[in-house]
Parts: sequence; C-alpha cells; structure tokens
Amino acid sequence: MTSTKTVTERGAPAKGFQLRDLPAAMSQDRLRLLPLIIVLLIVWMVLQYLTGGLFLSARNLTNLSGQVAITAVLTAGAVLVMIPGYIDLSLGATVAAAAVVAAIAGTNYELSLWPTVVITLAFGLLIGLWHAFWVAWMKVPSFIVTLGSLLAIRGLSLVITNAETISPNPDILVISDASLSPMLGIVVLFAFWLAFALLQVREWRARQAAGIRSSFGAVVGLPAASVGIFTLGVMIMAASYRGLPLPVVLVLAVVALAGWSLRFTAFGRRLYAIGGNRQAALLAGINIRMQASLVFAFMGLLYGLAGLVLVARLDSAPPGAMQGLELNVIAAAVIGGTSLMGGRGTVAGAVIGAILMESLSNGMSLMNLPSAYQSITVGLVLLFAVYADLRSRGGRFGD
Amino acid sequence: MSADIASSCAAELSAAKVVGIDKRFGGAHALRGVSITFEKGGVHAIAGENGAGKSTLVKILSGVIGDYAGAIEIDGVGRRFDSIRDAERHGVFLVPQELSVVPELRVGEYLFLNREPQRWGMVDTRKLWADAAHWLDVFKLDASPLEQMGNLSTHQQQLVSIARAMTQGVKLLILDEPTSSLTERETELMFARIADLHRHGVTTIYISHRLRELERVANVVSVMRDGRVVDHFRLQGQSDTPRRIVQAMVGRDIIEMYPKVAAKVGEPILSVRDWTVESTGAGRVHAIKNIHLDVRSGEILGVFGLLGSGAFDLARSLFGAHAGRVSGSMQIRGQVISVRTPRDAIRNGIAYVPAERKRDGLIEAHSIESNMTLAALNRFNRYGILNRYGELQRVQQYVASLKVKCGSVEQPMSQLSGGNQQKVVAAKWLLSEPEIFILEEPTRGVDVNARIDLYALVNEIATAGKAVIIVSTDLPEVLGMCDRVLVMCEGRLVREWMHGQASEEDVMISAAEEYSEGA
Repeated sequence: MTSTKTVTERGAPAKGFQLRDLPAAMSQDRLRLLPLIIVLLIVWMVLQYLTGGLFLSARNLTNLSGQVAITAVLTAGAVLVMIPGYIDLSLGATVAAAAVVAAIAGTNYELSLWPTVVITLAFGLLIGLWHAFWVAWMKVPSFIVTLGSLLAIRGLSLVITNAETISPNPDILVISDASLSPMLGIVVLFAFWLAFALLQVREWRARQAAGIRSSFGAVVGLPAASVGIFTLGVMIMAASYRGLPLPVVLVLAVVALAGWSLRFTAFGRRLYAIGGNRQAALLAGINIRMQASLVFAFMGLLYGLAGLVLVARLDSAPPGAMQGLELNVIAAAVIGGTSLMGGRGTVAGAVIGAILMESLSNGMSLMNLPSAYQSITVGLVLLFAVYADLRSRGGRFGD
Repeated sequence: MSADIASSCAAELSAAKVVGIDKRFGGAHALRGVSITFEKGGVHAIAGENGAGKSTLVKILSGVIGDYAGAIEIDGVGRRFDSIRDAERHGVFLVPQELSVVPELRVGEYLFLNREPQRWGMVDTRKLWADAAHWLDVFKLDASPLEQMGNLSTHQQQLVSIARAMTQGVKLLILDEPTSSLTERETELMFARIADLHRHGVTTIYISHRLRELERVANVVSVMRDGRVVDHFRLQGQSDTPRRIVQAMVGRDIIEMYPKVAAKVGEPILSVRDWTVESTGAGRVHAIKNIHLDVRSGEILGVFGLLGSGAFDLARSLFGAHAGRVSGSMQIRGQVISVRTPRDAIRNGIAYVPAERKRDGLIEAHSIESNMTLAALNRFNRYGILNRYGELQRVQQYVASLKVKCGSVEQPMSQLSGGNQQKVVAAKWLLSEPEIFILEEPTRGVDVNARIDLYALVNEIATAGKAVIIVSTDLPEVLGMCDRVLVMCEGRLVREWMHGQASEEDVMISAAEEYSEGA
C-alpha cells in the first residue's frame, strides 16, 4: 500500500490532475458514449416535433426497433472486426444470401423452424470461415477478401434463386413477430442494465483497491446512467406496446456478448492491441491468426442471424436485398467512435451510431421524404460525427 | 547567469540568437528565460536530460511552436516564425530524430520535392538529376539519385535530409539526436559531414544524449536543466567534457553511470549450437553463421556489433521473431526447445525488449496499464474474464518500483518520455516472469536518470538468477554493464572478453576489422 501511495502523491502536485486525467479516460472510450447519447436524444426530439408526435409513438418505436435490429447486430460484429484493423465489405451480399438459404430450407426442403435456423447459421459461419481462411492464413487484405465476397456471393444468390424472390416457410415469421411479455421484457432489460452496472462497480472497486484515483461518477455513475436512460426507453416502449420484440432481444444478446468480450476478456484486450500496433502485438506473443479467425467466424454467425431476421421481417428473400448495407454498418461504427485504422472503438458506441442512423431514415420516411434525402442526411452526419470526434481528440487520427 | 553568457559571446559573429525565451505549457514552466548566441559556422551542442527544455527550444526555433515570450534573431534581424514553412523560408531547418521520408520517392525527387526545377511548365528532369548528383557528391553519399529513398540506410536518409536543407539555402541547421539510430561507423561518417558544413556557411545546432559525441563534433556546448541554461562553455582546452556536462545536467558523477553489480554466475540457462540465420535483405546469404552461445544464470552477456554484423538478427532470431530461416539447436536448462514464433519464445521463458520501441515495443495510443499487461494477460485470466483487481495492483506495483513518472496508469503511452516508456516495456516482460531477457539497445533515447534506473533493474534481474543478453551499439554501456562481452562481425562471433578486460578501442577494432576490409 505504501508503494501505491507514492504514485498517487506523484500525480497530486499537478493541480489539474482531474482535468488531465479526462483525455486519458476519453481515449479509453469510457466517456465517449455520453455526447453521442445526447445527440441521439436531440435527434429524437426534433423528429418527434417534425412528425407531429408520430416518431416516438410506441407503434413506431417497435417498428424502428425491427429496422435497427439487423444493422445493430451487424454493427456490433463489425466493431470486433474493425478494432484489430480489418474491415468487412461483404455484409449486404452475405446477409441477403443467408436470407435466401433460410427461405429455400423452409420452402423447397420443407424444414421446420429449428433446422432452418441451424442451417442458416451454419451457412453464415461457413462464409465467415472462408473469410478467416483467406485473411488469417493466406494473408490477403480483408478489404479485398470481403469485396470479393460482396461480388461473388451476391452473384451466387442470384444464380441459385434465378434472380427471383423466394417466400419462406411461414414458421419463420415467428422470429420477427414473437416478443417477450412486457413484464418479462422489463425483467430482462433490468438484468441487462444491472449486469452492466455491476461490472462497472467491479472495475471501480479494482481501481480503489490498487490505489488509482478515479471518481465513482466517471467509472460507474455516468456509464450506468447512460445505459440506464437507454434501457429505460426500451422498457417504456416494451411496456406500452406489445412487449419486447424478439429481434431486440437478439440485439441485446449480441451486444452483451460482443461488448463483454471486448471490455472484460483477454481476447478483447488482444484485439485492441493488434489494431493499435500489429508488430508490437505479435512480439508480445499474441496469436494474431487465431484472433482474426475467431472474429471473422463470429461475424459469419451474425450473417446468418441477420439473414434470419431479414427473411422474417420481409416475409420474403429477395436475392438483391440489402445493397449498400455494409457501408451503413461501417458508417454506424465510425459514428460510434470506431477507428478505421483499428485499435479504438466500443460496441455500445457503434450500436448507438446504428440507432442514430436508423432513426434518421425512419423519421424521414414518416415525414414522407424520398430516400435520396435520407442518404444526404446520413452522409453529412457521418462527416460531421467523425470531424467532431477528431477535434475532441486534438486532431490525432489513427496514430 | 544567462545574461553574462549572452554578453560573453556577443563579440563573436552570431548567426542566430535567442534572447529571454520563456514558454509555459499549462502549469509546467518549460523554458525560463533562455538566452543563447549561436556563432556563425560553428557546431553548437545543446545537452540536457529529457524534459530539460531542449526540444521546446528547438521547436520554437524551427517554427513548430509559435506562441512564446522572448525574441529570436537570425543574422541580426528579429524574427518570429509561425510555421515550419515560415522558418524554412528564413533558412532555419530541423532534421528531426525520427525522419519522415517518402520511401517510394527517388533520392533526386525527394531532394527537390515541392521545388522541382521547371522548364516549359514541366519538371526539368535533366537538371533535377544533375543537381541531385551534385549534392550527393558533396555529401560523399554512395547512392544514385535514381535510388528509392526507402532503400537507403537511416544514415543515408539523414544525409539526404540535410542535403535537402542545403538545396533550400539553410543558414541554421538543427540536428535532433541524429545518431540515435546509427552505428559507430555511420556516426563517424556523419561527424565528418557535419564538420564540413561550415564551409557552406551553415551554423549547426546539435542535440544529443550521447556525451562523448559532443566533444568530438561541437565547438561550444550549452547544458540545460529545468528550462534554464546552467552551463555554457567552449570545448577547446577542456579536459573532461562528458564529466562536466553530466555534472551540470544532473549534479551526479559519471562513474555512477554504470552501477555494475556482480551477481553469482551459475549453470547455463540458454545454450545455442550451430545457430544460422538466413538474411532477409539483399547481399549476403547468411545474417548469422554457425554461432555457439551459452548464457548462464546471473550472467549479463553483452553482444556488440556494427550495423550488418548480425547482432540484432541474433537477438530477434533467439526470440523467434526473425523473418529469415533459422537453423540450429536451442536448449533451455538442458531441455531441447523449438522457437518458431514469439509465442513459443514467451512460453519457454524468453523476453525481448526491442530496439525500435515505438515500432515494435508499445502501443502508443493505448494506456500504460494495457501496454504493461499485454504479454501476461493469461496470468490475469480468471473464469474467462480479466481479473482487474490483480491486474491493476501489479501495474501499480511496477509503476512504483520502477519509478515510472506518470499522472495515472490510464495515460496513453504517447505522453510518456522515452525513459518511462522503456520502463513500461521492461515491466511488461517482468510480468511474464521469464528466465532469459534479451535487451536490444535498452537505453536508446533514454535520459540519464532513467538509464540509471534501468541499469539497476538489469542488475536486479541478474541477481535474481536470470540470464540477460544485452545487444547494444552503445559501447560504454556494454563494457560497463556486462560480465562478458562478445563481439560480432559479419554474422560470426569474433572475440570474447570478461568484464573489465577490454577497452573501447579493443572492442571497436575487432568489430570493425573485416568491415573496413570490405569497405
């Protein structure tokens, strides 16, 4: 204890300690969330006003949550891919292909729900492993590997469907229609929030024990409040309409898994290290090949999951669906503070980025604006978000 | 004190003058009324520890920092630069420690980048290559103007950067730690070129940690400490320059620089036989040929070699990090092991502190904490989740015991000085609890106080019965710290001395023997 005391004392003479500590905490991406959430709330207020109260109606929020689900699930995975410095450009094509696989399994082979789910996830995993093989073993840049998939797998979908839209087995619609009862939904959400808050408390206590000066507010208060506002919003939505839709539960599960593995496991720490300095990570004994393979395999499972949600939502599997999804997902991750160079980013931020983007397009549809305007808005939001992020970091980018 | 320094030099022809420069960064007072006069055509060295204010002064002179109190005079005219371009327009050029050349450009193109000779609206290539060839000749550089910058050695790139300043009419040339990544021989060549600079009417400001260099290259030395000039003297007629500089810098005697503690040397821990490493570069086939090596517990083994001797290849190959093919056998405590990747090496208890700290050793944007535990994450893995209690406690322990100066362990590595960064890298390896430490240039770019801390750490490691290999081009360090010194040349071990048996001259001669034949 005496040894740790000298450290805190050394930090003490500088009076601006708390302030100086702030950029460090920010670079740890712990306080990044707050401005983003505030922006999201402002956007919601504005849309609420512009749509004459339609936007925040429980009905629309449930609808919005369905839209967000696909983007958010994939964005959570994309963060895991982007933190070690890779990128996935194949999303639109692979998710559409997974939807096609689900529809064919149900319709042509008359499989019931569970076998269809297993086959679709397995298909996604297979594509993920294909990417992992080329990126991690054959050392082809992920940009090229996934660009190749974007073209090839889109083509493959068109070939096996004869470019026709296939209808799925009605069994599968349960994925978008089912929901947890309001009561159960609230319990699940509360458990989600409590787990998060407890992990932050654990972090704070670990710091206290090590004699590291840190305020309870910054480590526990603010993050727990931010996530709390968010879960409370979802709770209100769940309680006032049809309960908690299954796609939202899936998003929560994926976000919890991805976020947890990034923040609290050695696996996540190593991903950050690979993106921060690949050479130094290698020399610290990190198995980059294994890490990359796991990340792409996980991403593959998400293709399958998103494909299932998609086919259930549309009640059809158009082989040409979801064009440009990959860029929306990358934009959402970047808006949420993920660096394209790797080494930096959080799942929570990226998911809020996804919600922000989907809110904009949903709100603008409600206002009957053509999709061209949505694309203009999202483009400008992306530009502005990255600019604001850069300025708040003092202009250093990716190094 | 600074006032009478200024007046004592006023009689000389001055190329540049700084008067009463004062600069604060928030609460830190970086420069406290610094006044120095730089004589025309001279080589003026500035010495001082990290944080003494050298680099702030240089940044102000070269236009990187535009906001300060005080005055700058160039050729008797008061100037205030608000950008690097502005300073360059008035003949002040900085050659930074870490060069940023464009590796894809050819030497000639780089020399005249942005100032290409033009004719009819096109680049006059004939003149470009001819002028480039002329400047390469002036600097006695054995490279074609058509060579790509990326293919040149660091030392050649530095000389090209200086030549680039020359083509733009440099009056005041600032060299920041120019020799930090050079070998002895390249340093010699660099000094010869610097000595010639005054013929072109150039005044040089030379900044270095290496004290012995200063007396060879400079006419005048200013020593800085805590933002002030604390000593200022002409080198002519000085008997023991390094001692005087060190005393001014830290108030400590140079004898204490290498606090060697002889540990009890025991059984061999690492034994290497027929160690051969294929070269990855052009030229020779083998970077290392048939080396036999034993390192014992408690022993600090020094390996000294000039660039291309294979000393660094040896260090990297022992850690499984060499790109070329490696053959030979390795035993740790009599057990035959195979080390193909750094992961294998770490599993077998080998640690490696690389020479290129920023490139290989640390993640600058990440915190002290996450850098420190990176190689030992498995030790903090409990039920699949990181044990933050244990992790933070160990990090704090090492921050305290190695005297890492930082505000908080959450601070990004980029905010630490070189010495403190190196301490964090050392702690990273201590946490993985290895048996064998391979240290490459352990004190490159590290200030005097941090050096002493690092040497004390090396002694401690040896006393604990571990084996240490120091691969360094810092000859006094190798001779001062090691129980046994091996000299490498052309991929082979050529000589061996025990502690205290060899002089710097002996080692230098044996290391350069074959090298000079070839050159």
